[in-house]
Amino acid sequence: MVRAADAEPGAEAAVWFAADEEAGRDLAAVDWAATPLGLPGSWPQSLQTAVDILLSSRFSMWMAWGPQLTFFCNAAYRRHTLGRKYPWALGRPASEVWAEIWDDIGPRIDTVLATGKATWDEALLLFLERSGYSEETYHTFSYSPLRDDGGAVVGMLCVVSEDTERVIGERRMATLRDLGSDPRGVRTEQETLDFAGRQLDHNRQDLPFTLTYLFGDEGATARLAGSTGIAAGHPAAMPVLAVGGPDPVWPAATLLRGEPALVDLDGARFTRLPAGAWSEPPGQALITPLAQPGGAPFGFLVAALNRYRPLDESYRAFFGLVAGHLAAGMASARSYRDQQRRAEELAELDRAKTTFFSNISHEFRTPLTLIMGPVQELQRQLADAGPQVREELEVIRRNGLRLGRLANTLLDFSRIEAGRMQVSYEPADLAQVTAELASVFRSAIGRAGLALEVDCPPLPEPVYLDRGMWEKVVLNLLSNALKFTFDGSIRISVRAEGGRAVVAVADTGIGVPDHELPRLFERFHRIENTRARSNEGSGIGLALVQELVQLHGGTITAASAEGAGTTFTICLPFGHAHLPASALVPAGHATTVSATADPFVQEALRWVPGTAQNSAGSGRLPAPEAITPGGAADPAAEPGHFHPARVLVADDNADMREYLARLLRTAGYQVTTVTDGQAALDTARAEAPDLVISDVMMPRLDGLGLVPALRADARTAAVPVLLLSARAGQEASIEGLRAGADDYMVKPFSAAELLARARASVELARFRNRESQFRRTLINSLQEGFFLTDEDGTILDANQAFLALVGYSPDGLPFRWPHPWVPDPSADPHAWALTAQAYDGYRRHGGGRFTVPVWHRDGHTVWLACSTASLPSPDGPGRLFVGTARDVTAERLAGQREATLAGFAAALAATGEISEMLTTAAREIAAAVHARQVTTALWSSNDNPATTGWPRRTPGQGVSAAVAEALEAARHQPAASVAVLAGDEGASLIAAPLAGTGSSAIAAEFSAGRPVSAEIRELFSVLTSHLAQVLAKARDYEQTRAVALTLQHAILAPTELPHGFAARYTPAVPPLEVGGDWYDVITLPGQRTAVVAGDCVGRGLPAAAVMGQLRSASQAVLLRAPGPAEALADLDSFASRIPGAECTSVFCAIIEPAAGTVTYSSAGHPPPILVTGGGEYRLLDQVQAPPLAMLPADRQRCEAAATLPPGATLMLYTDGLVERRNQPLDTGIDTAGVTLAEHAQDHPDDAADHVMSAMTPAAGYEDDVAILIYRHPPAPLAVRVPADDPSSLGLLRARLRQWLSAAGLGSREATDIMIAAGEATANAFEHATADRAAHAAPVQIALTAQVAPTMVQLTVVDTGSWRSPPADRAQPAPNTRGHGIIFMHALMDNVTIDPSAHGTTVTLTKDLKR
Amino acid sequence: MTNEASPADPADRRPAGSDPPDLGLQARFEFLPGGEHGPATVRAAGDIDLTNAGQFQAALDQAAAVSSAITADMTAVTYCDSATIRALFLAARRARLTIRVSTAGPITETLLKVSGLDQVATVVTRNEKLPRLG
Repeated sequence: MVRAADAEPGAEAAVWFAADEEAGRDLAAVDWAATPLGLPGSWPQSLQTAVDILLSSRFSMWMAWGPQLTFFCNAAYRRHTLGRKYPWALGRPASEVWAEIWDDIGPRIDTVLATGKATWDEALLLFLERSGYSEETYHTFSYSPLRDDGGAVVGMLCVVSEDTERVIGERRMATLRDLGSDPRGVRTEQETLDFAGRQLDHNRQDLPFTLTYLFGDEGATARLAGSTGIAAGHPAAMPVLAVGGPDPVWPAATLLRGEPALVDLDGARFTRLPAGAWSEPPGQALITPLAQPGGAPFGFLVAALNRYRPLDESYRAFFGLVAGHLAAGMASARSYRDQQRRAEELAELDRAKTTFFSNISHEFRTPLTLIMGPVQELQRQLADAGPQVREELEVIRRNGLRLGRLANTLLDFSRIEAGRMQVSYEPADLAQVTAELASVFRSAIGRAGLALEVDCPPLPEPVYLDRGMWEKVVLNLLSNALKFTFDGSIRISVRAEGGRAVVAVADTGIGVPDHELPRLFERFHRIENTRARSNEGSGIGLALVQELVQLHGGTITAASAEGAGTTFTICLPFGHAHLPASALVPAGHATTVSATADPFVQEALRWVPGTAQNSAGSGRLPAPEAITPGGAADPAAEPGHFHPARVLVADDNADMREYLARLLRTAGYQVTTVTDGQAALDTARAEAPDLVISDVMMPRLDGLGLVPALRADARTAAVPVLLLSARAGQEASIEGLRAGADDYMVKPFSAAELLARARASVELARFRNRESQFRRTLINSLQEGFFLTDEDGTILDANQAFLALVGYSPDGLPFRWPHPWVPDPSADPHAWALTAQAYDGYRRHGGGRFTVPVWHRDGHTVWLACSTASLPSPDGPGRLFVGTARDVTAERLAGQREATLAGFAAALAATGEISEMLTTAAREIAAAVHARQVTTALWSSNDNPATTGWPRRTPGQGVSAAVAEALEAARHQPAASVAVLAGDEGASLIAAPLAGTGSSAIAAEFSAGRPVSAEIRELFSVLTSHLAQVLAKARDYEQTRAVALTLQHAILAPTELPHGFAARYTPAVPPLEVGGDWYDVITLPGQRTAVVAGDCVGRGLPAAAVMGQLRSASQAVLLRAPGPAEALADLDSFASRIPGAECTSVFCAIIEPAAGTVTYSSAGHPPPILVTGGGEYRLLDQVQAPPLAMLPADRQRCEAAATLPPGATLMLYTDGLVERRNQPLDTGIDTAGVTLAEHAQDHPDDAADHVMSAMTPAAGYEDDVAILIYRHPPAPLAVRVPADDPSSLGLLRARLRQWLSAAGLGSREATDIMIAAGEATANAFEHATADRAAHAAPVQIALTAQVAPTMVQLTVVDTGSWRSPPADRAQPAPNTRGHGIIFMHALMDNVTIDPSAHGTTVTLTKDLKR
Repeated sequence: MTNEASPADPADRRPAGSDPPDLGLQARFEFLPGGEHGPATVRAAGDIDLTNAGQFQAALDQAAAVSSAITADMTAVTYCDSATIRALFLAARRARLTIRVSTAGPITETLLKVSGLDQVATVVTRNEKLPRLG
């Protein structure tokens, strides 16, 4: 169909489609005449109406009309469905418009046309080609018939809504939902992937096929772990990929980095790919990493793409979520696997432990039996032996029983664990059995001072018990109650409650902390740091009780309140329904408490004081018991010591306690025994023993805690401690020794060994004590402070003098670091920093000297000068430090003030300007007095002072009201007075006046809460006084300098030099920027020029003053004198009358440019350099004479002359340019000469810059330097170029530019000359070009230029004829030439144009300044 | 445009031997279309004489074709003559012209005044020195 492009039927037809502007315009543009429908004007009313309805609807619609079903649609349809087919589709047959789906919709339309009945389709899948590819779309639509004016069906109307997004969105959502619908929770990796695979396989539309790879071998390979929609063995489904291998099927290396990839599925390995739900295989696959939090990805998911959908944001997001699901599944599977493995390992460990306990318990029982039997036999046989023998046998028996009980408990446990417990349940009267068991504990409980309440009324029916086990349950609970109860009662009760028997064991003991209750029945769990009658125990009793109760089908619970007591409640079912029938036995098997009870009771009795074996004391708490020596010989006593050595024994085991006491007593010691570490500490503090022997594990305070507690107390620090422990191994012993014990013995030990070690320890202690007394006497006699520290800085000992310095008493010894007199870091960080530095220093360097501030106990600061030295510790591997301390407070303060003042003065001396000085002063003062802020103020005429300070304030930042007030008040005070004021928010302020009454002040502000000490005030006063003096001097200096600068500018040199000259002047090193060197250029009558360079002796202002006078004098004499020699002679007499002018060196020369000569004379001045061209230079050194006023009376100044060839360069200079230390003057002159010669063609200014920079020493010039360069006029320029080549213009300009530069013309003159000459030559070119035909000979243009001291003259000559300028010379028409001549006249001083028959000559003249 | 006393004007001083004497400074004309950041600009550099004034004219025409306000940036020009001035006059007829010049350049106050260019164009003077040539 041809669209009407040129004709404009649209405008005419537009009225028919007015209902919608957008679609209407396009419909109007259709060439309707070419359709069966004809022009819109001819359409039947029904069609017009239908089109009108279509166009006015906002709902998506299209319609077809007539024999070809001509296509119409509205704007909504265009937007939603038609895509790129619009507006092409308008007016075409519907079958053409929707060719790709005609098979789907054609029959429907036929039906409508044939039957006149409407159709309805919901979410019908249609593959539209509206976006350049076949697209999966879903539409819900209805076709309704359209009738013509006569009522016949001639078309159809389609109302359609597109469901594509919804359908596809729901489909993807379903897949994601299925992935997340894992009903079983955690699973293995493979199960996770298999489950996910099944879900992904349900959606072959969006996922035609998928491959899930997992990385293995640390990322070297990727293994195919799951796939959907693709057969195993397909080349695309490689089972293993080498990551980073050549030409991989999938870019695994990219994925390992966690980046997704899009892969085109072409090439051999992607042939015959499965198509999923579609007819065509996918064309692309998206590969998404399975991200692992905090690690490399688990693997990646390859997902083939639905070729009928674009890979848009939502499709990408879908893949992201799928991969996320897989990754999360993998993460949880791996974590599950790890936990599983850990659990298995733990179970294995548990089994091994059970086996071990079982074996070891059996192993114990055999030797125990072999001990217990013979012991009982011995007891019987030795019934009549001495009490000691009987006692020791009894100890053996009791401990054998205890060991047996422990072994039995362990065995029970391992049996339960292994399920090998032999249980026999018999019906029993629970109340009676329990009451009997309780009664066996009655005596032990009574001896502990506790009441036993038994409340066991008969129960209604029997409870089936294994009697042996139940005994263990009750005895364990009672034993436990006794162990932890120190006051009150233990109560056991039996009740029938809720159809069960309830047994409760309640005590009024220490209770169990809440947080410990849940772990109470855990095996081997012990509650640490609890007060108990004994620290013995394996932590297994309650766990066993629980197991045993559970074997009875019962439960046990514990309720406890800390400090109030604990109640254990056991519930047992009545009857035997809950028990295995095979384990039931008839009643009456056992009647009385078995031997099980004996070890429990025996053990419990041992914890209780006042038993037969523990004779002394009846109090609750174990009291120290003094055992007097047996009166035998005292082997531990040294000759001369009449009292025996005293030993303190601490052990919670009564047997061990008694054993040790007996052993030591027999050896002649005086023994005191206590039951725990705290009692030992109290006893030792009351009266220090000669030796402490202590068990490691004890209630209240154990051995490892006891040792440092003893060491920390001056009274007991030296007492040797021997630790005893059942814990063997080097580690345990190291732990003990590290705690500070002198010796460590592992149980079991022999009596002989114990006595040997005890004796050695006592001897050492006594020796130490004697040493100590000697030392104490010695150091106390010292006048200086003396102290002894360990490596940690703890002061172990100090003499009276030292203690007096810091104000502490010896009772405080040892003083741990930081010592109480060390300044508090928060209150005085500076003092703390000094102290900490000294502390670190002496520890690192093993001693040394340092001075530190300390806080005397009464509050004042004392400076101590300490000298320390290290020595090996006599007690062990460490080192000790001995030190002396001297009070240097007074010297220190004086010294500090001086040092601070010196530093302050140095800092101020380095500053130049006053504002810089004030800032520096503020900074230095702030540092010296540790002020938070220092502000200075200078008043000039008005009331607002100029403030500066430290820390620097930003401009405009004001001063606080308090500071401003302080400054204002201080400035009127007499010099050196310091006022202390209150600042803002508790801060302190001090303020003082500065130089000049009323003109300046300074204030320092301190941190809030920091008082201003007298020292600080004094220091501040000293510093501000100094500042005041310096400030006064600085003001003088600034005035002097201002004068000097003015003077310098007035006298130094001409600011504008005639053309051809250049000069540079660098004064000596600042701050003074004037000096004694000078140069001068003086224009003399007769086109002569005088040049002078001179150097007065000295530097600074005096030299500058002399220089100024000499310079003025030289100007005067040169104007008068006939030559340089006469001029110098006049200067000689002048210099002899000016103080300080003698010995000035001067060089003086008169240049005659026209003659090309220079006449010169020198008064002791370095010879000038003359460059004559060709890179050569010579010196004007023919006159050698003394400096000014030094010429002997019989000698006269003489002069010499030199020729100046064209373009020659002359340089005068002062010796600062060439004089260097350690270098002959000639070397410097030669360097300057070579440099000048190199730049002989350059503009004099450039030559001057090159010389100055080439000669500058690394550190800058040390002396004043002046140079003066003169460029003699170069030879005239003459250039001739052909006029037929415009590029000649450039050449002419280049030559002229270079020549002007060499002639030393100023930039402005040079620019003007360039332009004027350019115009003249451009004109010449135009003449030449215009008249070319008339001349046979080649036209030439000649440029000449020459320079004289007063002018530059150029001529441009051509062989053409001059063109007349336009009539209006002042303002030529812009588009005409004519500016050229105006420019020449404007830029030059004289322009002559001389046209002639043979050519034109333009002469340009520019006057030069003189 | 008064910088007569400026002591160092390197524009027309070139060290000997650093440049072949038979070559002028190559001229460059750069046309910047402008837009949001400024007017259409012609940036000229080097020597402008009758051999290349036509190029300069063309660049100005190009600018005047796209913009009613144009800028002729002459700050990098080392030499120019009346042909250059003429090109600027023609440009000023076609568009609102701003001329940027440097105090160190060849377009001096004298030149502007004498030609009357300062009456048809806005002159912006940059008080800077040209980079040392060569």
